[in-house]
Amino acid sequence: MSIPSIERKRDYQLASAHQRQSFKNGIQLTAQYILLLIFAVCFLIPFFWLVSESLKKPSELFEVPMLWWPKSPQWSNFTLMFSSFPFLLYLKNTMMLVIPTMIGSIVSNALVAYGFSRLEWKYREQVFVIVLITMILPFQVTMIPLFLLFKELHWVNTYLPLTVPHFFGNPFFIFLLRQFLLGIPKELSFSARIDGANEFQIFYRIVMPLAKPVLTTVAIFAFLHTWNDFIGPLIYLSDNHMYTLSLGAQQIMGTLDPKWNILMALGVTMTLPVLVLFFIMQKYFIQGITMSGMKG
Amino acid sequence: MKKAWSSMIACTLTATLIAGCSTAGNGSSQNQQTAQGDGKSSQSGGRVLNYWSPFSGDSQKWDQERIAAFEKKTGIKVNVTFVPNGGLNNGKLLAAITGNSAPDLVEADSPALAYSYAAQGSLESWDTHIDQLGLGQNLMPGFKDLMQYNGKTFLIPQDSNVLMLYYNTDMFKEAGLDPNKPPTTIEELDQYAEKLTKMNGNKIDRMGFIPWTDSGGDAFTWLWMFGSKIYDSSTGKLALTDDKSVAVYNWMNKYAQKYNPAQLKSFTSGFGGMFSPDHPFMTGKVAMTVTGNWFTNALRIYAPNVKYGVAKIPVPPGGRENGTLLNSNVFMIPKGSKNVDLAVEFVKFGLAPEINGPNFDQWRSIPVTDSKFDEVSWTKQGDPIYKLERELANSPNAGHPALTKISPQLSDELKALQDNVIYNNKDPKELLQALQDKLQKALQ
Repeated sequence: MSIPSIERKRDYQLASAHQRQSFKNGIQLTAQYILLLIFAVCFLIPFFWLVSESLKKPSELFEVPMLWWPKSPQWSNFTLMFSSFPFLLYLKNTMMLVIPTMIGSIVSNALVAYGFSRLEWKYREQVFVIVLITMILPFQVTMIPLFLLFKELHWVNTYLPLTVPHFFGNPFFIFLLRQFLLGIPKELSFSARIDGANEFQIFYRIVMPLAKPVLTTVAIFAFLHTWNDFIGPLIYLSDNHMYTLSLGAQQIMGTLDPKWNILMALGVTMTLPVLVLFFIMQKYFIQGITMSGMKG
Repeated sequence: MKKAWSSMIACTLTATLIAGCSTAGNGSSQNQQTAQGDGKSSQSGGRVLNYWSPFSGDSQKWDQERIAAFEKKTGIKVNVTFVPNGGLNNGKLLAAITGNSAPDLVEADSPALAYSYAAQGSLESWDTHIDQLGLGQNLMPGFKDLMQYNGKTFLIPQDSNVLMLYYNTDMFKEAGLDPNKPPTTIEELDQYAEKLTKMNGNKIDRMGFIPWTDSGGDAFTWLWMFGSKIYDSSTGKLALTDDKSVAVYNWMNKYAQKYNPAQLKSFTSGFGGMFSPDHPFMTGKVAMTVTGNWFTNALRIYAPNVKYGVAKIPVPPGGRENGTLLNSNVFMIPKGSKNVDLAVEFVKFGLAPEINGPNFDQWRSIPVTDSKFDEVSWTKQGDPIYKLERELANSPNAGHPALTKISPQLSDELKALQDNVIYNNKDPKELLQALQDKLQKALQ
């Protein structure tokens, strides 16, 4: 066999191996996309169902088999929802709770988690375990003692019991932030110290900018918790003008006539800000992914 | 960065201030706010009643009108808070009573739940005010058990509802039944139901009757009508395993097995609510149903063309003939109330027929004293449904069953048991025995 023909054969073998490899990669990629698509559909169906129900007539709500999309969408459900209860007042009240809660959660938990992860002190791990143990207590157990405490402080029927505690740490957020902060190389702090930075400067100039992704997560969780909280405002507020959206939802429901379609319209309206927040914050999550490369 | 950090601190402080300021105005003392806030309170001489109302929707509007009329008449300011279920089942009232910051008056739309508070010693007694309320001797017998615990009065019923059998008269005629002779016994009810049921091959087109829809699905309805004791207050023991209780679930299961539980489940899952035009009685999917007087209003609004009659609920031999369950809205004074006298004044005002009048007119609900029936417009018009309601309410077999401190739990457990019998074809006797053993411990 001549040399050019051997080379041709080798080229052919290489090309077919390459084709096989790209075919294999193609299948792998398609499988990944199909899997992702299945999961995406699973998560999207409940939201789609919520939107669909919010546009149905009462008679279409419980049809069997399920009606995927109303025959004629009832946009008036949204108008009815706005006129059924003081939506804007309750939205304002909810925001009065959400904003301080988000700020309080970020500031206080970041400080505490910094202490548990970046500073060395005696019994640090033991104290951290005690902090975690407080997560075991459900709200039902602490509800009455907390109510008594806030009553003594004359905070009942104010927003203070629903906002101030968020400025004093939350064990779950502390845990979340601590685990993240432990992953940031200590050398960064040492270098900053050599450059003359004090501990507080290291905290806000070096560590916090790197912790943006996890701080975003904390902010979203704090937002969601307060936005959806029903029992907290119910227990502490006794003035209808101070009620939040989640309490307002309950007021729409009549004892004999739950008005599901209007409730669903409220459900869509209440979900929108959460979606908007997520899309705004999404890029920080992506930052979090790129950050993981830095660790290597 | 320094700037960003300072902005963050500024934001935090501002947010806290906003939250704090909003409380200073609204919160530190609601009474203070109202006392200083408007002309009405100065007219009331600072007398303020803190009242929790359970109403929502249309009933909430009616309650607001009642409050406005009370304020106008008495000059007493009412601070009303609309709380789901009056705060009874969500911890709000419990926390308020424990914290000695309970409202002066609470109204509840679930008498069994309210009774559990009375049984747990969380309420003040009305005993010294009963005469003032004018309830004394006029009260119909079915309300006495609900009002009292251990001989003391803790709950005052504002108004009540009764349960009846609704039947479609056109369907009766079509099936060759006399609309003037509705069923009076369970045996007749079953026969009528069979005649009224329409099948299309194996598919159900119309059910003559389904025992567990509407108020028939409530935990205590059929137990009460079949004559079961459910709970013996003299011994403090549950009585769930007698033959009458077992008969209820066997009877229900007979329907389930006859028409196939899965098929019935699918058929009933498409039913609309009581106040929707898709309710099965309105759409003609069911020919008879057991529900309360409020349904007459729903039929008027959503199905004015449906011709119907109402009758006493049929019972088996040994059952509670001419009986009904009463479903009352009740007033209660929680422990720690600071203005009992104002609460009494408000309740007295609320019991007046002219105040309850619009409520009675709309829902055909009933007063709790027989003499007040005469003042209701339905009576004046000679309405036959209202006449029947009056007869049922005065019956010795009208009442509120299972008044115990665990009524809400008992109700939930019995509903689960009912589903277990109907859909899983389980033996009710064994299930009832197990439930009785379990809940009797909770009662002690």
